[in-house]
Amino acid sequence: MNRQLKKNHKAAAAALATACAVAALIFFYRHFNPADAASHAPRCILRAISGYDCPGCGSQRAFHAMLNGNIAEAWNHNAFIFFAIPVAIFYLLVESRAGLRWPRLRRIATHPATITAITAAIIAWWILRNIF
Amino acid sequence: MKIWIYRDGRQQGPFDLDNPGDISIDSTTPVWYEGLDRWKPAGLCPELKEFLGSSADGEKTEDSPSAETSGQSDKAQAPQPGPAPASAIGRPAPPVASAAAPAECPPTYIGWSIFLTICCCSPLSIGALIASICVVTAWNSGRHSNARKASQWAAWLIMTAIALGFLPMMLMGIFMPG
Repeated sequence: MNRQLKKNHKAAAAALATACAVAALIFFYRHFNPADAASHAPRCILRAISGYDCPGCGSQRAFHAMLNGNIAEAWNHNAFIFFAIPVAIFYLLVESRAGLRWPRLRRIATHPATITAITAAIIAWWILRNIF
Repeated sequence: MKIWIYRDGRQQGPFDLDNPGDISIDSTTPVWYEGLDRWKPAGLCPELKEFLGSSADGEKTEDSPSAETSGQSDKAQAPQPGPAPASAIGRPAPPVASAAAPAECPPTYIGWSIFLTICCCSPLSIGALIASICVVTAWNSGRHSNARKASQWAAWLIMTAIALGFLPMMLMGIFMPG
């Protein structure tokens, strides 16, 4: 009982911390334009070194545009995040305790072919966005 | 009273019978509680009769192992409830063969890898995705220790990606903006 209570407190604390972090990120990206040097937003090391866009480049600008209602602009900055974020959340759920309830879904989601397809899609996006 | 049940291919519990809201069993679900010498279908346990109620004639679920055929456990292996059911000794192990009740595949951390890709940490997150392919491939072919090792690799790659990718990015944003 006591053990269960402690576990619940830990889960609640983790949920609260996550909610605070998400709220802080939403606040930051809504009010500051990461394209603006004055925002001191993180910068992609890969692009600074190579000059090429990485698969995630533009996601901060896209968040900024999205949180200010400019979906089309967000799509132009980084179209990949429109797929990647739902997929990432899906996988975090599937691999959590809740995911144990759907063993079939879990098996399909973590099938080697599925993971290979995701990896190939990321690499294809990486190459194509630097060509076009 | 605390009971353990066997459902959806794995052992679940302990559940508190005084608080039955989150238990879902029918008469064929293998159960164990203190006082039983082995796992039994819930329908054969007099203590659970009123709990099962009208659904006592529920249909068989295909993936729950038959408790009748699994009665070969001796007293030493009989499940022992305790305050720490997660520990190897205190945990009530279903007496079915491990092939019938495999443990869960270790985590692949795919969700984290994809998040890191968005955060411009691609090379290491793609490495972590390749490690997760190894996790599942090894697990499916029965090499469980390899799968666990690959899962640890994926976790380490993700942590390294955060340390080597994300933190320098923030420092660069702070000290070399634009």
